[in-house]
Amino acid sequence: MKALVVDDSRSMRTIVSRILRGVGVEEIVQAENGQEAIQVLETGGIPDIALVDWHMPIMNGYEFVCAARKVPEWRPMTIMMVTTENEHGQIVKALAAGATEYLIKPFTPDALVDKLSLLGLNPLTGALS
Amino acid sequence: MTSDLNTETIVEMTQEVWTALLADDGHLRPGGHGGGAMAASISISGVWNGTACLTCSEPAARHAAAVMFGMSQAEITDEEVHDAIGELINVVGGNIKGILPGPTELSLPTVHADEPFAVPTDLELGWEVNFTWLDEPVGVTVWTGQVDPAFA
Repeated sequence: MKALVVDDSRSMRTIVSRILRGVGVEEIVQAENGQEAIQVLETGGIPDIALVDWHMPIMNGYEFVCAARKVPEWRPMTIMMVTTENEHGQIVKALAAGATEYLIKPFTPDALVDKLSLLGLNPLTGALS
Repeated sequence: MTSDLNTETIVEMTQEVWTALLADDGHLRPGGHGGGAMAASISISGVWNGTACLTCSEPAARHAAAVMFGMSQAEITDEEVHDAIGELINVVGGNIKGILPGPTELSLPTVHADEPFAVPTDLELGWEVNFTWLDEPVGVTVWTGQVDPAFA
């Protein structure tokens, strides 16, 4: 499984990546804003899942979701928002734009793994079913 | 217009952030004198306006960064320390935003590395909560301002 972690905080990207590696995700790519994530998608292939912060400079996570969902080839990619943004209206907006799942910070490693399991991740193999 | 925001909720939210991001199991305790050379702040604007500021000692910030990056304190750079405390106030601020009346927007965090956090003149002190963490000072201060007329 390949994952893309998008967050302007390098410490948060490190935490998320560490959790992903712990459940067997083999390939993890990082980007520090939505624009950089788009460039990754354009040049580096499509990950199975993108874990995306909302509040980032240059291009925020919501804008990334909107942009990514406009590209038919990228539609199979699961998008999980991982963010402090917790207003109900904003969560609905992100899901309506094409986000698949939503996880509010702070989260424990177990909470992220549970969300990944809901999306079909096998925590023993790191594969999405 | 401050909903359930009070000293108790700030304590609970900050401890929750420490537990989730720093795997802290009860070492962040209310009390102490606050202060510290490191500061990071984040602003909330909309129906409610204000700024939340995290302060801590340099050793506390370095320890937090070491945990978040999974490195030893000796390996951690100043840039990583700043990133870590910026993310901590980002998550604390996001949780404060979550219990306020909405809609509100959260700014990006600002790390005050070279000079102390200067309180904007249009804000007044709302809550100041001091903690000790592994014998080091940590503080969360929330400054409140006027509601934007557009939302009044």
